[in-house]
Order: sequence, then structure tokens, then C-alpha cells
Amino acid sequence: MKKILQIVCVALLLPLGTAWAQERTVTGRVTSAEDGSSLPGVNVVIKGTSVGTATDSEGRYSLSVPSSSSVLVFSFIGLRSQEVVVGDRSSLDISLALDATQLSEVVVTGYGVQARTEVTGAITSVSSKDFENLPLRNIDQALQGRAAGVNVVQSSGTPGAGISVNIRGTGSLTSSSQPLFVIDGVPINTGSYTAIGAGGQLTNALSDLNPNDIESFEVLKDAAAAAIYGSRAANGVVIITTKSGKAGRTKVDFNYYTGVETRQNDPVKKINGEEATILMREMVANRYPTLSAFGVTWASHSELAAWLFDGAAGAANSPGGFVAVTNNDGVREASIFDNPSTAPNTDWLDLIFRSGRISQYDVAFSGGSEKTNFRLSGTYFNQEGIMIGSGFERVTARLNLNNQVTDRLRFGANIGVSRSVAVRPQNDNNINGVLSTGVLYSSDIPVRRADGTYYKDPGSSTENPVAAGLEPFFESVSSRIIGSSYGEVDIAKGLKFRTELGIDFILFKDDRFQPTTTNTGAGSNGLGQSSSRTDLNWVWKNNITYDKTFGDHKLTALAGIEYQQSTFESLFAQATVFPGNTIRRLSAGAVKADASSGGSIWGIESYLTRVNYAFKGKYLLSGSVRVDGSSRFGEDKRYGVFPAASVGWRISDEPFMSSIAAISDLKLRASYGIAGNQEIGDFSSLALFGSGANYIGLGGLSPTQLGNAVLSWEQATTFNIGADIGLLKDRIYLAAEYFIKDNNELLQQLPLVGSSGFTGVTTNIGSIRNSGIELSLNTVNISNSNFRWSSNLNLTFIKNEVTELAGAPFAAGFASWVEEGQALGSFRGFRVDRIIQDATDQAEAVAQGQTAAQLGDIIFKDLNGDGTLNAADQEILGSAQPKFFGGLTNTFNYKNFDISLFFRFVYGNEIYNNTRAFSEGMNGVFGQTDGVLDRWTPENPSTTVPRAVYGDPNNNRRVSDRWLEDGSFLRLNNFQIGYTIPQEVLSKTRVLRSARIYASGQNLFTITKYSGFDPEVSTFNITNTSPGTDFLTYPQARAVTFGVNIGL
Amino acid sequence: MKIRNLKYVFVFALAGVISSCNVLDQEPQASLAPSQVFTDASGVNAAIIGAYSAIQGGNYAGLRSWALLDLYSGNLRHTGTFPSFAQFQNRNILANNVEVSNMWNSVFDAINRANNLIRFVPDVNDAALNKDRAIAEAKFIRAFSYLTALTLWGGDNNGYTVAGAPGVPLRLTPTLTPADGAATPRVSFGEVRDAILNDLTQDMIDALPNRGTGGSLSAAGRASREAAIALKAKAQLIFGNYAEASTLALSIITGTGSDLAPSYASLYSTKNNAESLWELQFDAVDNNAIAFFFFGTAQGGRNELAIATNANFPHEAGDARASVNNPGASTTAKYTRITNGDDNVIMIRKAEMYLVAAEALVRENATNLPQALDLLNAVRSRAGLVDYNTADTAEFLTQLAADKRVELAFEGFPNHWVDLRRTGNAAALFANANLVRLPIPEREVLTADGIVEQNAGY
Repeated sequence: MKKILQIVCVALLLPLGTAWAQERTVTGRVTSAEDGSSLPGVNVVIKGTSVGTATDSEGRYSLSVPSSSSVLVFSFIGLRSQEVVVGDRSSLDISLALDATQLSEVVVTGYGVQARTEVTGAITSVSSKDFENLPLRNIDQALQGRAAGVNVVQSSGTPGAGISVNIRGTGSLTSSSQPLFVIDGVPINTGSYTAIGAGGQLTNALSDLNPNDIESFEVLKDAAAAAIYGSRAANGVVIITTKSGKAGRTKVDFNYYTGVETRQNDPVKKINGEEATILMREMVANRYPTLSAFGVTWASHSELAAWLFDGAAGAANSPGGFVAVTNNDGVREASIFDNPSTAPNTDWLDLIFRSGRISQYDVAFSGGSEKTNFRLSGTYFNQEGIMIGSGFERVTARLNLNNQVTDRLRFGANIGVSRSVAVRPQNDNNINGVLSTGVLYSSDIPVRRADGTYYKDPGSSTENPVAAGLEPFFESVSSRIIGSSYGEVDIAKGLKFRTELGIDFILFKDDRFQPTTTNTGAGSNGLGQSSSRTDLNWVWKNNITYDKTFGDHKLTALAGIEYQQSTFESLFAQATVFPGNTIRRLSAGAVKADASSGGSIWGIESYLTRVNYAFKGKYLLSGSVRVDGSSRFGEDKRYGVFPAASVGWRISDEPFMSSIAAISDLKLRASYGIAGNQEIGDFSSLALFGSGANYIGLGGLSPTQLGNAVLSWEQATTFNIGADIGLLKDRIYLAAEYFIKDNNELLQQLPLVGSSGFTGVTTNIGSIRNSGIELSLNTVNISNSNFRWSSNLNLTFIKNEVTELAGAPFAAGFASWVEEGQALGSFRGFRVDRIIQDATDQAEAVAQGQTAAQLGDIIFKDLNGDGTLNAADQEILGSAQPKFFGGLTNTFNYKNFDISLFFRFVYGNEIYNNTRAFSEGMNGVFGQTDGVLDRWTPENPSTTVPRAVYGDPNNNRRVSDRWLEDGSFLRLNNFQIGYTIPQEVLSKTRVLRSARIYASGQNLFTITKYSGFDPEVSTFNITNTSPGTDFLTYPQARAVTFGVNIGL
Repeated sequence: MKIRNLKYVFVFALAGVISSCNVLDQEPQASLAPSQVFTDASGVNAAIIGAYSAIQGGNYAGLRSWALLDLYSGNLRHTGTFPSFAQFQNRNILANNVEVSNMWNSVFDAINRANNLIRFVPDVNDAALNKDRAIAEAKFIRAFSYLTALTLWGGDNNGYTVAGAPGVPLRLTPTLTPADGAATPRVSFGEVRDAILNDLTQDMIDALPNRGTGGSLSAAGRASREAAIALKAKAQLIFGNYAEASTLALSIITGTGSDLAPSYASLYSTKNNAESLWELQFDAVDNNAIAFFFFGTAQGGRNELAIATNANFPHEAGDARASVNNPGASTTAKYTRITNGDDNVIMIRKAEMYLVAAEALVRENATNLPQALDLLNAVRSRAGLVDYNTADTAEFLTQLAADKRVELAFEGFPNHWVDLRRTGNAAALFANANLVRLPIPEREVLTADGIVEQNAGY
């Protein structure tokens, strides 16, 4: 918080007035009541005048006062103001106490700062105190469970992988529904830059940033708060403020933690080699009871199983039977099917999971003089990952610098550079994934042959899991610079001009090499791919602000012009036929199989204005308008107007409230406004012929998209009412919001019949409504000199509904379904009726069209009752949208000990467990999990698991409620216990300013009914339409870390 | 000092306001507006190449449009992981099968690319452009694509030429605006047939060059006069116009077998054999995944498809084609270039014309049987088989079908599947005879909102 204050005070410092005659001078020093340190930048004003000064870097001030009855007001945002009568003193030392209440807080808003008391929009702040010392891989993780209305879903545990951040629900179908992130005024690039597929998990540009550089997040949720960002604010805005130095002695802060990550738990159990062997034979026997299969009669089911699953040739065997030609390698021989206990057994999951180190070193130097302050920091973060073939490393450095050139002129710059290296295994919907194959490789396959080469399942297309983890080289390196510089001048009293240039530059490079030991590389004699992407995003902002208080009126006005441009370049090349597996660079590949480059540019031109007005500090009014022109919009709709207005009433300041002592703060707020979403693709509005349709060595062109000249932004209209209620001197503080957010004009592919040659045209059509309640409750439960217990609870209820679609309902993901009147993320499929137990059941199944049904198969419900089971007999089975979610933090301080417990919870959502649809599908090729041990057999009829049958002719494993599971969970996200070395001990060292040691645990336990690896999962990474799907996704780790925080 | 600074800042501000950086006018860097394409010969040529490229796709003749039907007909066996492939293997396809939907979209994408050419080429003024040939190539691509669509989705359960059998939507003009993309109903089989024959006119054939010789890439890669005649012969056989079919087929073969490649295996081991009339060209850069789908994992494939057992896909003893079609180890010798994925796909070759002519002759008139036997035996003899002889036309047709199945398996058109349907023999393979026609993609039916009718049974 202090660091924000630092920034704020720079902005609020007013130039001194000239000295008055016949005065005397009062001098003094202002210190912090908390630790006695000097407070620079405190405003000292003679009450009732505009005469005043500010304290210098040592907290000293000097001010001429007209008379002894003058009253000095010492104020510093975040501290409790003091008023002191000068009397006859010429020296006046003051200590200011921290204002522990919410009232004093300052929040960073778009293009300014505002006292929390005067805020009329819905803004949630998350301060560094909430997440410091946590082993965060990405900064967006810091928001998880901390801010009401913000649903942060870590889609997997893959190092460096994406995180979905939805503010107030998913508000788009096809465009991004992720918020705009703004760091120190620079809108930054987010999302994934990888160009080489690894399954579902993409990279995350936010993982380039160091969480320890961040002072605070402000989440702008409603239109009043966010619409000043115009065409990019429809999904909310997250403003990130980095730490800066403050005047005083140079401080050194060193933080270090290290620890171990492990699997959270062990919910997925595979069947062993013997069980797998029994199962395979049983599948074959059930499918081909007569032994007549593939045109011949087999000598036995074991022979047929050996032929099918061992990829072997068959031979006639007199008299009258076919047998598999054995390859005598001890795997899937007919003799092994006859004696399953002799089958090999490999515990693949045990082989691919591991425990991995996680550690971070972080050092920061900060300080400054009266005119200049700085903060320089550097970090190194390293995470090995809990799965073979994964890891993440990040080095960052940041310098923030502010300089006051003259009384009226200020310059400043901040720059952050980083390099992060992600090593990602393939996973999810990918037959070469590590976890994918770890689950779906059968346990009766050995890891290696006797000669050391990998054993590849002869009956399956999937990769050997160990080979998938250890053999490919796949590294993604992101190098990045985010920086800005500004100049600010006071033109006249209260009137300020600021110009600011910001850049965000990413160079993202992927390199992958698949050696001949992998399936992918075997055919092509090695496969090398290299991709490079750069994104240069610059913004130039020019703003004038005017602050004026006259009598009971306070006015803040802003006007600005802004340009932004983003230039994207890509390069991709692929080569095959390598001279061995040692040289990975494409230059070694004999065949340059692919080479392409691309580029794209978009730009925005903006005009913005905002006025905040307060009367007597209790009647609050705010309005803003932004006009954005974007190169992405169709030529007939190039400029969008995004207005917002809000009002607030601080009831607690009314005289009639003064008698109600229990209520320390009460404010009602309401807002309404419109924001846009310009994430629509750079040239979606144009009819285009694309390149790349080449043939016989000649370049070709082909129609790729239809044009839409009126294509424009998606539009979010938000109505918000809120209340801030403080009780018992704010020991209990509740912020409550109710909102209705309508996202209209959603971009969709207006579906066209495929016979037109196109499948759709991008069109603004479609609506989604998110409405909900957000509660955020802070309480100080116990507070005395030795012990303090405080709690923070946030709770969000959101109802999501698709209110308009361009065409017919459509499927997404594996089981997701988008339909008007339903929530995004709904699942649709068949419903299981029962297992067929007898001839009557079977006849019923056959009669409704399940012609292949046998005893032990599933009879599905004929939902529409037309007597035929077909696609129309599917219905909405559930939804990935939680009924509510939130977080609960309890913090305890006892003397020098501190303990915090952070729980996160999600309730009422469902997960489509597609992993289980494969690992319990019993259709032939895949390794299976222990659910299949309860499969139907004549001896085990009382079960919900159908029979095992090769090829699954009844399609028992179709999308049905069989694979839908309750995804609710309660997770102890973090537990931390720390001990701060007492000052009296530290002072003896003469070096240490502060020191704390702690132990921290992430994801220590999760209470859930979900049977998969992790209920917090999204195979499709960041997705609007198919969240909550689990398919072979890298689960999150449990981490136990130990750390120190040392101040010098 | 102060004043100087102020000036400095105001200059900045003024610059900001006035200079008005133009960030709004941006143009795509790897695409063109349609108006920039059909302006000269090079643009038209690029659009023709683009239209062939559509046929190359993995959802079209680059794999699925024949491989999935070889799976459906029983020439292939599914050994992989795609449930959508398994539905073909199990002969139980659902209307939302993603492969069916992708095939449909790809075939019509090719048609739209051809329609663009046919619409705009006449307006191009460039002396370097041979407009007639350009339009003829586009019509060749369109006719082939409609024949593909018609044989997979159209027709009757018991044959193609049954009266009242449905076709597919017929689009002969390009989709240029979203309004052009509005759904149009399926027309009858006969209307699509007429459209195909309207494209394959003598004028069109005459506008095409003769098939090139030698191994140059374009020799067999693009539409030639011979390829167009062969395509028309093939189409006429399907349409039951046997006299036309036999005349056309005979017009481009010598009838003695001398124009067949000496070795069946060499058709695939070397590219662009003279026998090959139209062969989709692939190279290491413009490659396909066919071998990848066939090869086992240890060889770098994905083991998705394997050759059906000899019992289900029988070859006569001594048939040289057996070791090409099914050399063992699940893959076929027709697609072996897994390293670069550059196996060509033979779309039409002369041996097929022998068989088309033989069948058409017999169906036209039983007295043609001796000539037909000669034609069949020319093909059999290349496969190292003894001459077949019969006096019974029905027996002849059975034998011819068996030979044609073996001869043309896994090539760029689902010949065996289409023959099964054409001769009314497909339905017997199915518990539900309605499934012999692929479903119109569910997406298409839903999007068309009642205008495009689903095939019965889905």
C-alpha cells in the first residue's frame, strides 16, 4: 500500500505558494506511528487555506503560519489525518498513525487514483500483502480466490500454462472474454504466443512477470470503473501497479523460498498388467463369441486377442483354426492371454510423475532522495514440475524511477525485462502426451525392450509415456520488455498535463525436436520445428487533468487522446530427415518441410474524458465517455462510443447518521455504462483470398472468408448497484454488489451451410447475460496487543445465460453445448437408463435402435419418447458454471508469529470427465483405470459399468451423464506460518532491518467428489464455450516451501 | 525555466493532437481482396492452383474421401483411436460424425473455388491467359467434386439411378457475400448428374491440353484431355449411360494392355506413370498424412488404418496386386513415403478405363462379352493372373467387380464403395440399409433450418 501512496503523493503535491508577510515559521518532522520512520510527502496545510507544504525525504517540513491560532492539517492518504493548533510552538513533531479502515484506502482507477470513499464504481483491490511469499508461477494466480466476481481458473498444472480470468462471468462466445491487463498504464499483451501445439495447454504471456514486483491489483468490474478503457473493457480491466521506491535510506529486500512440489493426491488408479490382459481377452470374447472374426475362424480367443493387440500376422493352423504368429517378445502372446498372471506390469503413472523443486530468489533495492526515487529488483524462479518433461524458469529485472525536475515538472520511467523458459510436455487430447499416454497406455506393456529401446504398444497409436516425457525437446522462450516513461507538468494550479509512452515487446520462440525414438520422429527421421513470434505494442497517452475544490464542491476532470498500435510478426519452419538425434537445429534437417512468415497490425485511436464531482464529500457523481476507433472494425463502423455514469451517496456522512455509532461507513453506489470488446481478429471484416493453397510447386490462392463491412465491437452494458458498509469502526466491513451485465453484439460465425463453400461469416449477433451478487467481507475478529485474527471472505454468485445465438445451438469441446436459454459451459448428451440384464431389456434396446445391444450393454433413455434412440435424445446434463465460488482467508498474528489459511471454493459446477470416457471406455486400445474392475459380467450384474466388448458396438461410451461429475471443491490453497525476528534481536546485528522465516504449503488438501486428478481443470485452456472438461490434463501440484524475507 | 518546460510540453501535446498517427488503416499481409485476384493471368493461375489444392486436403482426396469409404466397404480395418473412424468401421455412422461434416465442407469448398473461376475468368483481360483452359480446369474440378458428393450423399439405398433419388445442393455460382451463402435445397440426383455432364462437354474437353509426358510434376497433376474423358467415362458408368461410358473409355486406351504400366507395383513406386491420367501431386512441402495414418507407431505412423484381412478383402492366389495392396504389417505399398508424406494419390488411370469399358460394354449388350473379356484380361494379365473366361454376363460382372475392387483399392476415389452402391450390393452389408448413404452433416441440416433434407435413417 505504501508504494501506491508514494505514487499518489507525487501526483498530489502542489506547488508551494509564496510566503506571506508577518508570519512565523513552524518546523518539524512527521514520523510513522507504526515504526517511527520518517514520512516524506505528507501534506501540511493551514486549515481553511490552500497554503501548505509537503514533508521532505526525511519527513521534515517548514511552513510559515500567519498566527498562533492557525491549525495545521497533516494528511497523507492511508494515514489518519491530524489537526493541530500551532499555538506558540515553532517546532511541531507529529506522528501519524495508519488508518486501519477501508476509508483511507486509495484505489488506482483507470487514468488516475481515487480515495476509496469517493469511488462510485465496482473496484476490488488485491494488495501484495495477500500474495507475497506464495510460490506463484503467474501473476494472475494472485487474483485467484481473492476478488469477488473474479473467477480465476488454473486450467492445468503445466508450467507456464494459461489461466482463465473471467470478471463477472464469460461474456463472449468466440472472442476473448479475458480482461484487459494494464501495467503502470500500459495495456499489455496477454494470452498464448506458442505456435507449436502441445495439446490443450497453451502458454501464458502473464507468466513473464514477477509477482514480487507487484504492489497491487485493482479489478475494474463495472462500466463506471472500466468503460474509460472503451473498446477493450467489456470483460473488465485489471490494473497492475508495480512497486516503486520511496525517499529515504536505500533498502535492500531479499526474499528466498525453496520447496518441493508433488502430486496432490492419487485418485486415478490404473488396472495392472494382469487385469488388463484379462480385460482384453474378455473384450474379444464378448465381441466374437463364435471365434469367427475378420473372415476367419480363430483357434481361441487368446489367439484372436494376440492377433488384434499384438499387431501380429495370423496363420492358418490345421485343423481349421487361425492362430496369431507369435513374436515371442513376452508381450501379449496367446499364451499370456491364457495365463494373464504372466503378463508384464508397468505402473506408468508412477513413472511419469515425480517430485520437483520449486524455488525463487528475489532481491530489490529501493530508496531515493527528495527529488528522485527508485526501485530496482531482480528475480530468478525455477520450477522443475511434477511430470517428466516439464519445467519453468524465469529471470526478471525491473527498474522504476521517478524524478522531480522542478516544482512543476516530473519525469519518470519504469522498465521491466524478463526471460522465461517453459518446457512443456504434450498432453490433453494428444496421443503423444505424457499424462495422456500415462493414463491410456496399457499396463501390460514394458517400458523398454531388452536392447534398451522403448517398447511401443503394437495395438495402439499412442506413444510410450516415458518416451513422450523424456525424448522430445520442447522449449518455449519468452523474452519481454514492458516499460513506460512519462513527463508531467503542472500547467496551472490543479491543471496538469501528462504524456506517456509505453511499450510491451515480446519475442517468443518455440523450438521442438522429436527424435527418431518418438513415434512422431520415427517416420520422418527426426522432426524439428522452430517458431518465432514477436509482438510490439506501443501506446502513447496524452492527458490533461484538472483538480479543484471550491467550498463544498470537489471536481476532478480528465481529457485525453491516445494511440495504440500492435505489430505482430511470426516465423515458422519445420525440417525432417535429420542425421541422427543429436543436432536439433533445423539446419541439420535434409528436408525443409515447411517455412512461413506472417504479420499483422492493428491500431486504436482514442478520445476520452471523465468528470468526477463530489458535493460535501458525500454526494458523488461521475461520468465518462471514450471514443475508440479501431482498425479491426468494419469500414462502416470504425468508431465506437463507450459512455458510463455513476452516482454515490455516503449516507454515513449525513448528520442523521452521526448518532448511530455502530455504523462507521455506509455508502450506496449505482452505475450504468457501456464498454466494448475489440478482440475480433485483425481483418475479420474483410472478404479475403488467402495464400498457401499451393499445388505442384506453385503458389495458390483461395477464398478464405466472407466480408462484413459493419463488423464491430462486442458490447457490454452493465448495471451495477453496490453498498459499502463499515461497522464498529470498520472492524466489520462489507462490500456488496449486484450487477446485470449484458454482452450484446457478440461476434459469432453466423453459420452458413457448408455447401456454400464457407462454414460461416463473422457477424455481430448474439447475447449473453451475466447477473450476480458479489460479497466481500473483511473482519477483524480479535485484536489486542498480542493477538490479532482477521478474516476475509469473498463470495460470488453468477448466473450466466446465453440469450441470443446466431443460428442453431451448437456443440463445442467434447460434450459442451451452446444453446439459447442455457448457460455457457452446459453439457449435453444422452442419459443412461440402465444396464441390460435380460432378454426383455435387450429387446427394448434393439427396438429403439440399439441394434448391437447385448446383455451388459447400456440402454439409453429415449428422452423424446419417439421409440427411436437418436441424436434428438440428448439433453442438457449439467453445466460447468458454478453456483457460487469464492475464497476465505484467515490471518492470525500472535506476537511474532503469523499464520494464514487461504481456502478457495467452487460449488455447483460439473466436469465432463472425458479422461474416464476413455479410461473406462473398454473399447479396445487404451489402458484402463480401476473403474472397469466393476464391469458387468453375468456374475457381477449389479453395477453401473457396462460389459467389456471390443470396439464397443453399442457405443456405451458415447457422451452421456455417465461421464459427468460434480466438480465442487474446497481447497486449502495456501497455509503459511511465519516468524518475524524481533526488532531487539535484529538491532544487535546492525545490518538487518527486518527478517522473517516461514513455511508455506500450496494445495495441501482438496475436498471434492471429483474422481479425476484435479477438479480445477480445463483441457481447452482458456475457453468460453467448453470449460470444465477434463481430458488428460496435467494436474496442479502440491507445494511445500520454506522461505526467508530479509530486509537490510 | 518553467516557461521553457511548458513550451516543450505543449509542443508535445500539440504534436499528439495534430499529427494524428494513422493507426487505423491496416491491411492484411498474407491475403488479398477478391478484387485483387481475378485481374490477370497470374492471379487466375493462382486461383486454379488453389482449387486443386482443395482436393488435396486430408478431408478430401488427401485421405478421407476415399479411405473412410474403403473402411466402410471393408477394404480397410480401423485400428486406431478416432471414434469418428470407428463409426465407419462399425457401419454405424451418426449424423454428427465430424469426418462426414469435414468431407462435405471440403468438397463444397472445392466447388466454390471452381465457381469463382468460372464466374470471374471471362472478365479478365490478359493476353497471357488461356481463358478456355482455365475455365475447363475449373469445370473439371467442379465435376469431380459433384461426382464425389453425389456418390457419397446422393442416390438411393439400392442404386444411384433409381427414379426420384435425391442429389445434393447444386451451386454453380460463387459465394461472394453472406447472402449468397443462404441454404439451397437438395436437387434431384438427375439434376446434379446433368450439371456434371454440362461441365464435361466436348468443348471443355477440347480446351484442355493433352496429358503431358514424362515425369514432370504437371504431366498428370492437372486436368488433361485424357483425364477429362476418363472422368466423364467414369461418371457415365455411374449414371448408367453405358454406351457413352464405353465409347469414352475406349477412346483413350489401346485395348491391348500395352498402355498399362508393365508392373502394378511400379504405379506406386514411381510417380506419374504414363498409365496415370490424373494423379494428385504431393511433395515434402505440400504433403499428406496418408502413410502416417497407415503406418504402425514404431514406424512413425499413427496406426489408425490397416488393410482388411485377406479373408475380408480377398485376392486370388498369384495376384501380383496382393503384395501391393496388402504386403502385411498392416500398411499398403501404395503409400510408403512416410518420411516426407509425399505419396501421390492416383485419381484416375487407364486400367480403370479398361474395366469401365468392359463393364459398360457388357451392360450395354451381352454380345460384347468377348471384347469385355479381353479388356478385363488385359488388366488381369498385368497382375500375373491367368485369363478369365465365361459365357455368363452375370458371372463376368461378378468377376469384374472383384478385380476392380482389388485393382483400384485405396486410390483417390472410393471406387469399390461406389460400385457396391451402384450395383445395389451395398445395402446387404448393413443392418440398417438406410446407412448406405452418408448422413448429410447434422450441422448442415441444422444450419439450413429445414431447407436441406437429411437422408432417411439418420
